[in-house]
Amino acid sequence: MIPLSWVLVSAALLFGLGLYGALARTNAVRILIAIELMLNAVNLNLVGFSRYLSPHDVTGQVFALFVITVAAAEAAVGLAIILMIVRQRDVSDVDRINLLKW
Amino acid sequence: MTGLQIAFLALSAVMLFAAWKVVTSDIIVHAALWMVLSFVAVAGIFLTLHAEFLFAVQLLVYAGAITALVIFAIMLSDIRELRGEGEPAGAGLGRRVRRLVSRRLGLAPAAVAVGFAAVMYSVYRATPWPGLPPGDPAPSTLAIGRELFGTYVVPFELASIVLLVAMVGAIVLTLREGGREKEEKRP
Amino acid sequence: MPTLPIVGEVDTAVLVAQLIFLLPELILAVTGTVIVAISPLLRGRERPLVFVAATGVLAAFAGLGPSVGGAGEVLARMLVLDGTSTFFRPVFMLGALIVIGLSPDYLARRQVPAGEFYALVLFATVGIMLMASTHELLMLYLGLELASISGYVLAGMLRSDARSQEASIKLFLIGAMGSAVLLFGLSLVYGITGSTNLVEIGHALTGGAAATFRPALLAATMFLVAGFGFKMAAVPFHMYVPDAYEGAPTPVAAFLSVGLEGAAFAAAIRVFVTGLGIIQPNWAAVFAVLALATMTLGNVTALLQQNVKRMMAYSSIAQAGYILVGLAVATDRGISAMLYYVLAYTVMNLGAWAALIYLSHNGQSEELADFAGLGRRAPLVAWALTFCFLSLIGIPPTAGFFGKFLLFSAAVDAGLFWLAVAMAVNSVISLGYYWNVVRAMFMEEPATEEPLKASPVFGLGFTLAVLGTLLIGLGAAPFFRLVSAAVVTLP
Repeated sequence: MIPLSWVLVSAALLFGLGLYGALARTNAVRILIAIELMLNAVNLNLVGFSRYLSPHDVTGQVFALFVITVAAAEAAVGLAIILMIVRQRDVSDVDRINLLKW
Repeated sequence: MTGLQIAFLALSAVMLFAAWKVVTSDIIVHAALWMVLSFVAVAGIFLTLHAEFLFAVQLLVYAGAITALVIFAIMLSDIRELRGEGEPAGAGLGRRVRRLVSRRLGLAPAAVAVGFAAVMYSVYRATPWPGLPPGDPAPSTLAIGRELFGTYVVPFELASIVLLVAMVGAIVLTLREGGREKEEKRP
Repeated sequence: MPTLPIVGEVDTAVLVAQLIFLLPELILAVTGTVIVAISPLLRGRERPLVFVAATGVLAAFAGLGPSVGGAGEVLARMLVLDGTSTFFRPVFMLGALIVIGLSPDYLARRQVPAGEFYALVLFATVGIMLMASTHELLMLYLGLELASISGYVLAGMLRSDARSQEASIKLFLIGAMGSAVLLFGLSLVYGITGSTNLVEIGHALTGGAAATFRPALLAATMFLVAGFGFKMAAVPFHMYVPDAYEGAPTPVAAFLSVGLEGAAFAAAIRVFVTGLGIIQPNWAAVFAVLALATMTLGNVTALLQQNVKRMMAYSSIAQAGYILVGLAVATDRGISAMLYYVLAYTVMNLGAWAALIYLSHNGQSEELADFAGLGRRAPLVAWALTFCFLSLIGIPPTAGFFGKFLLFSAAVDAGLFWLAVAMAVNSVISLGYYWNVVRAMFMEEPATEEPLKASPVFGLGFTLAVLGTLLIGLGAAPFFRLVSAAVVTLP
């Protein structure tokens, strides 16, 4: 069997990588990709817990299913926003979008 | 070590290596492709955890739909974005130090991720997690279907509004009024 | 009539019968869908849609009828009808109604697609109402995302305006990151307690899980505080807020500052008090520090602003700091004070934003200079704005004063003297930047004498906000009773 802690530590590593990517990168598409990694880490947590809490409880899996659905919706809107900006200004770097200060 | 454990460790290693490449690679298309590998590895891990339905959904939605969206966005954005974000400036020792911690070399993200995971590991180690419950898990697809259209039918409908909002939003933000804006902008 | 099946553990017939409790949300969602469907047919004559949207909200108010009185957890435990949800649902609908009333002139002038605007405001309202009225983490997450995603789109609706685009992308990137952090915390809470229902979570924790899983629980709490911090615009998670509110269309900034922030507070009350009540000393201390940092930084930075819209963004950060005092105190009195303040904040803040919307739909910008002589050009608006400012500062006998007073005395009661003093000092600081605007309006000469115009619909929305501020302040007693009955108690 796979110890639960393996799943959790893998997820934490993935979340950490995603968090770093989201904070350190300046390109909007890259930040979006990094956020998707973080959401995958959350799903790993949820599915792991769901497996270990009880053999019949699928709450965690259902939750993960909704996270995936919302992530898809969020990605669609995010990429629409990026497209809107790129179309007018030919940049997708958050750093270069600096009319207003951070 | 059982076969399942080996499979899990291998998939986890692939997932983390791919995620590390996503964060560190210079070229955004490469990052997107590594992202796909990472998603597929996550799907594999779902399989080792007996979540067959999520395995399929992960492949379809993440490795399929979201990847397609990201690739589209990269293709439609300016060609400059396809190149890297530039070498760290400076020379000599300063440059070498900066390279070492730069996001390009990849030590910094790995360090942040390992640091984060170390903190979380110390938390997890102090926690008496339950062992694997006895008995084979029921086929999850049937159970998920029952839950989704029983207990979680209201959230299910709510998710449909979320998708509607995403659709309306994506259209309203990118709709071109008679194609004017585009023609003016492009050489 | 065919009998309805039983799916899983849920009796479908009961579920269908209980849909009546979801009537307000259903009406709003249907109205939104109808508006989206008919707006392409109107082709530029979208102005009447404001009446469709407003009628929808009014019908939704009526739809609250069956839910009043409360029936506990309904709809397979997805919705909870108690004092808190009975209180927050109409408050959020009132906010939406005022925003809808304030918008049409602005939308017409800035060529914002009106149909989609109203529809997204309605959908977002569904999300924030559900966030405040559920014990289920999944519903909370979906409501939050529904409101957030609508917000990202709404902020970018001045499509060719670079600042609006920037508001949209910043709101999106930071918002999505905040959601991911929040979700990580939620997943840990689920793992620790084995449940996604906050009441069950509370039971599991008091039943021993809090002691055995203590380190993991504290880690989860940190993720939750950070995740909610992003949505509440609490320092240090506020950095996107000034840009987002300054760049977004003004009615959208108004809506986000009351709707999304209010919902984040409502959901935080549920999660922390109902779910994590047993480790209250741990999170209350964090919220106390956040409250102090948020109100101080918000007020001090607001002093430095020349752009009134940006000043209002910092002002809403400062106000979020005051509301956080309720969570820092976390007694019944603290929570009920928080509820009262959210109500007062909704109307007085929208009243203040309304003046900004008024200026910008008349073609003025939101710089301080544009407020010069407003007392002569539009005396009614100038006086109403002054009144809302007095309330935001907390001068008696306004709604804001009673809200601050309740929070203040709850803090003193709980022994948090330093926080109470900080609130008082901050109110004095806030006098400075509100005074700047008032001085410009009444003591400076206008650049032009050109009269300013507004439609009757705008007037209605504005009146509703100002009258609300007046009523909630002058007739505070019934509202006190309402919020003390509505409070969620610690276990």
